[in-house]
Amino acid sequence: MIVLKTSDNETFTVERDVAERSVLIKNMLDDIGENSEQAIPLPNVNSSVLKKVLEYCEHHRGEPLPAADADTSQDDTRKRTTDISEWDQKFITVDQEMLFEIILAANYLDIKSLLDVGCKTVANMIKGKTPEEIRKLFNIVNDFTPEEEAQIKKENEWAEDR
Amino acid sequence: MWMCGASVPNNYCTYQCKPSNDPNCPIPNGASETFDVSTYYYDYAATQEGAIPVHKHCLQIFKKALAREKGFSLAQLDSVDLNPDILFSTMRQKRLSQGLRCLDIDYFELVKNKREQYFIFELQTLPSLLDPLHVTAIKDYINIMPIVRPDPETKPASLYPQSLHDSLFTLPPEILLEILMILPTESFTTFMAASPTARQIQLTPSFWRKRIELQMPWSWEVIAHAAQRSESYDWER
Repeated sequence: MIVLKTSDNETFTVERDVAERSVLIKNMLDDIGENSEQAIPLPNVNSSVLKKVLEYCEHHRGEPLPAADADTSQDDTRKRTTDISEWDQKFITVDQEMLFEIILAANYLDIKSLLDVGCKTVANMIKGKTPEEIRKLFNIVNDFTPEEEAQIKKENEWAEDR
Repeated sequence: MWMCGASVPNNYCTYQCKPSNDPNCPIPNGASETFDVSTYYYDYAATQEGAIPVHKHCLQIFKKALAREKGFSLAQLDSVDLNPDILFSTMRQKRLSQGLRCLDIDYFELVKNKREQYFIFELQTLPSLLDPLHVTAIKDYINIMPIVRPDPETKPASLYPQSLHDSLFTLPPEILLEILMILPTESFTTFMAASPTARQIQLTPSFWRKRIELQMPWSWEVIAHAAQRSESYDWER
């Protein structure tokens, strides 16, 4: 068992193989050695986010981790679709603030599969929407002039022509 | 059994063949020297024992798609087992959600008479369309691939003030890049137009290259060609 300490000073006691789904934590554990009782500080993650992240790690424990020198073609196959498994889909159904915090935590903790789920979810949110809908979705204030907007459209025409 | 024999492609998936012992080209009743073979097979299940006519260039593309799927390298291409069942399931996965096409190749404005090319996949059928190498444009395309030219003027660093309210701003650029990478082409522009944060991201040639590799994995000729050359291509084009 190892102890993790969040930015808001809460501690979580988790099994090692669950925590080690985070490459960051795995590397830290490798550095400080097997039998350390020390709590691992995670200053970039708060307790509510860590709770979610650990839920994910718990569910996916034991699954093979992508190797550091992962085969790129495998990597591509994984990325090419925006499909998300049913459990992950349910897991990631959270408000936008939480979604972004999970993405940031996955990035910081280096949990590739969770980062993927997060990115795919954002991509799915954007998919098939109009610019206005996207702006509403992300609270974007539209300050483009009509000329600027036309310019952007022009620059990206290649994507529209299909 | 695959038809790789001598035939002349006509429009609409038919091929003019000379009668031969090829099971696809039975001796016709009439006396005509050539006749058309349709590559439409409406009921694959019922004709499973028969042959699926596929001309050899299409076969190459199928092989490539399969090889890619299974992680084979280009060199191992010949060892790829083209089991029809495997092929069908792959095609089914590759199918775009809208419509029945898969492995689209769109030549955009490159070909003056705009010509799209794709394999149509209908349930239980495998028709093939137009010899891909019959269209010479892909070679032309490779030869005229846009090469990056240094910008005569350096662009202003940022067009937009930092004070914009955009919740995406909380995400670091590398994550936004990931999202842009997997975003379908049709959503790319809308997203770019909608989000100033997305617009600020520097899209490097390697991004475009990776995106092409991800989204058009069958464009091996183009990718392999570029790998052999030292010029950096303007992948955005």
